[in-house]
Amino acid sequence: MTLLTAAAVLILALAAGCGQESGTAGNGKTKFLVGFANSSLNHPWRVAIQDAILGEAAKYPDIQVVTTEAKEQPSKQLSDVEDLLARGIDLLLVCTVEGEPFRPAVKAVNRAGIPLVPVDRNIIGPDYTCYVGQSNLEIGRRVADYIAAELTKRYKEPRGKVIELQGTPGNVPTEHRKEGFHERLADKYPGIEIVASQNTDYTRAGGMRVMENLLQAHSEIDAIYTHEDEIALGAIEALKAAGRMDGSIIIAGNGGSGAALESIRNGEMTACASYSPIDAGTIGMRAAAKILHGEQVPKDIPLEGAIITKDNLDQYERPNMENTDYIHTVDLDSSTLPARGRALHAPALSETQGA
Amino acid sequence: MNEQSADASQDHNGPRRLATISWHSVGVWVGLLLLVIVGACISESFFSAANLFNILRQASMIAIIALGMTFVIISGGIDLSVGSIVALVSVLVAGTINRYGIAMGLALGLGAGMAAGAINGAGVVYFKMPPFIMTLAGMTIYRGLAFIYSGGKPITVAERFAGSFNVIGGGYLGPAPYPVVIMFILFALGYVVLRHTPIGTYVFAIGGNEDAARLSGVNIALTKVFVYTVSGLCSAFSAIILTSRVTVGEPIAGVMYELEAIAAAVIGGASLAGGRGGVGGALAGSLILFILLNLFNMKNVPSYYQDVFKGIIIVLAVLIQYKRR
Repeated sequence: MTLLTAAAVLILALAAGCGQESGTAGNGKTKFLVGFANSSLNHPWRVAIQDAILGEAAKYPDIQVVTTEAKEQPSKQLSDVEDLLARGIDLLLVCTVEGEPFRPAVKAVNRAGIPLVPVDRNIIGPDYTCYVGQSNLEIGRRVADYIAAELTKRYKEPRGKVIELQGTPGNVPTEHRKEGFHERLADKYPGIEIVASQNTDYTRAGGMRVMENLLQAHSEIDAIYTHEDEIALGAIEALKAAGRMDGSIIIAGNGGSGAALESIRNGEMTACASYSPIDAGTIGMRAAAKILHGEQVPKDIPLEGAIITKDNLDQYERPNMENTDYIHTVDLDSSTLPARGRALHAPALSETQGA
Repeated sequence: MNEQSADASQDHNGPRRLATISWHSVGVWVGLLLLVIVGACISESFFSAANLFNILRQASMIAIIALGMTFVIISGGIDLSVGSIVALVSVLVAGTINRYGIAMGLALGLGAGMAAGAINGAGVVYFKMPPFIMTLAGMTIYRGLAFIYSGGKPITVAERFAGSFNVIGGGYLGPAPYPVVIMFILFALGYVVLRHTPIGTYVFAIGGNEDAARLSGVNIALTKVFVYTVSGLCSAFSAIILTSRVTVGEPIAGVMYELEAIAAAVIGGASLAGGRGGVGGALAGSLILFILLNLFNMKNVPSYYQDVFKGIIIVLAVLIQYKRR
């Protein structure tokens, strides 16, 4: 009986292992193998960046991509990178879970002599070939500026009460989006008060749950800053259920999903700080392809974000956009590598330099 | 534990039941009352009808799962897969409503929950898997299925159904939100089944002393499959309420719900060794957890501290019960 079960387990494992090979179908010679170590696949943004990488890779018949995901566990990501190196990848694309714990992986990749292309989340230190992404600290500052500008229109000076709905605690984007926001408010807009700053789990239900409780305690709210579109949509549900959706509260999302754009069009969400996973993934893979084909690429390709509102919505919305689709400014059909990501609409506020 | 199984093999209707209400099951209600008083003192918005119904509505989703979990725990088992069943049912309901309408979506959701629970039960009974292992496997398998079905992305309930579907989670019966009404109805049903039907007696019997129960002629297999099916069904109800509130089916819904439900059941007096517990305790335990969350949010307690306080209170609550036995 045990021999049979052992055999069955072995066959299942082999079948699963063969099934894991995602990416381009190899007709003809597969010359290059690219590994993508994703931080996790438990959020549509993460799924979208992976799809973008695979989509761009499909344009190059000599490139095949294999992917792993680390469930936001730094230790799993180290194992993932080791596995990918053992498979003989020619280049590593990675969204690091966290910079510090990833250092041994950077050493291993450098020792193997293969290029390292971090996307979205960077590594610590200069030992990479090309980084494509947007600064989450910048996003926090950008939204702070936007909210301050809006509150100035309302009160003739930047003051008011803001609630912050964060993502998962301990998560790097969460920490940076919070830090940038708090830092900017403390530096330039002391009149704006953060009356509550609570973590959610990046889901709509989580955002709703926390917002419901906060609504009980706070009768005066001028703005709600969220770390993700889904959280903002959850907060909107809570406001609707409590009958406080009267347009007096500025609601800011983060990302740029179809659902968020629709919400802006309906006058519910006020603004969305854009960060396109499609831009990050496509440009990242394009850079990787150029590196593999021996071309020069810039060290950093910063993606620019902007604040999407009802006024510039048309520049971002595509026809037939699904709720879980994301905005993108990059031209998906081209093969040119841009020097920087475009925001499509230049930010109306003060031009701030990188993180 | 002997007192419950002795009870089980004798008359289980009427006055004998009252005599077995012990301090530990009343204790949790005293704890709840104390927490409400503390809450009213430290936060001025706490003790309002709006906030209390808010807490009840949030608690309902975990309380309903804790109800099913109580059945499983009393029988001597555990169910770690409830959070994942919530995720699976959430995406199935959203996807099915979009294709076949609300009635079909609800039916499929409840059916899938029961099926998942029954599979857990079958594994425990027929493959003799320890409940911890079987439901741990269920936990990963059901969530994996949820991700496969949804492609990792949330499934939005279509415009034309969203309004009516949202009534389940967002509607009111007078001042009471529907989820609270549904919760009380399910708890009443659960109480009746657990205390006034033969199978309820068998649940206690198996948890108290499985060998004695078997020798007394109790159908162990049926009862065990029953409790896990109940747990799956309760998870499905919770998933439907949750999905209806946000009108989106999410494959990442329900993460850690199993721990919250177990905490609620245990705070309420269910013994993880089996044979002891009650549905009232599960309700009180859930309320305690959600009053805490409500106060933490309203007092802006940072989330790291929230986790520490919550854990300490769980330990205290259970310690108090053990001291009194």
